[in-house]
Amino acid sequence: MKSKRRKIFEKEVLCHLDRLYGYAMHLCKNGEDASDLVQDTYLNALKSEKQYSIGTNAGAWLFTIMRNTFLNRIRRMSRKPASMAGEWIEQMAREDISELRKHGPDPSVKCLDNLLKEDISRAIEDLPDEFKDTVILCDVQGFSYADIATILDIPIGTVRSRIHRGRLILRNLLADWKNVAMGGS
Amino acid sequence: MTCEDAHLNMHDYISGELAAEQQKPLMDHMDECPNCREFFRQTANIQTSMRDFMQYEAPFELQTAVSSILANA
Ligand SMILES: [Zn+2]
Repeated sequence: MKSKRRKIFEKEVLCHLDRLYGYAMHLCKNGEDASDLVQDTYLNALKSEKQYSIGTNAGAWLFTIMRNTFLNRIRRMSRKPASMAGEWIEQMAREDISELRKHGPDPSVKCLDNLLKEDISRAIEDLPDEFKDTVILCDVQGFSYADIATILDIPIGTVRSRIHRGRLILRNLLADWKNVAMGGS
Repeated sequence: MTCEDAHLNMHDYISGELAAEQQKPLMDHMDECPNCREFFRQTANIQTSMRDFMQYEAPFELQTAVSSILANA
């Protein structure tokens, strides 16, 4: 017979399944590995069930476990997370920010409406990992800056600046392609 | 409020992180500044598209597997 606490615990962790699978898809890039990661995450969550206080933030707790499970798995397979953290992309964000300081936001970039799923997925894939994780946790998963700081184990100020810069990079990637597609220069 | 401040604040606003007392100055700035207004609209639009497009549903097999992990523990 399960305890009442245990039943509530199951309910609280189960309702995050779709979100966890979504995040696992971003981390693993394929459904099979993502499903494995989700199952390992639940197994690890059960192991540390006592560390969780019922009625608190099950989402942030589970995402933290998933991220650590993923990092351990990568470490075991002794391969680094695929990062395309190109210096140029960082440079691009820095230039945008200094432009912004001089002239304010420039909305002259057109054709950012009617974005396609393909455009968005490709732009997110092209973001360096540290921006990608932060932007996905905020804009797709809807976590607060404080939760993201816990999940990624980084200071909250870093979360904030990565979100600002990550969104700027995304915007520019999208604008560049749209511009090319429309035959602009 | 400068355009630079407005830009920082609008990101926090879109993230749901802008304190209530800072929201009115941002809205006032955007009422008067078409550039910031348009930039805000585009940025919010990208976020909405991301949120709409990147939703996943766990496959049925996984739902079953997770339920049995929880049931058998
Ligand atoms: Zn302005």
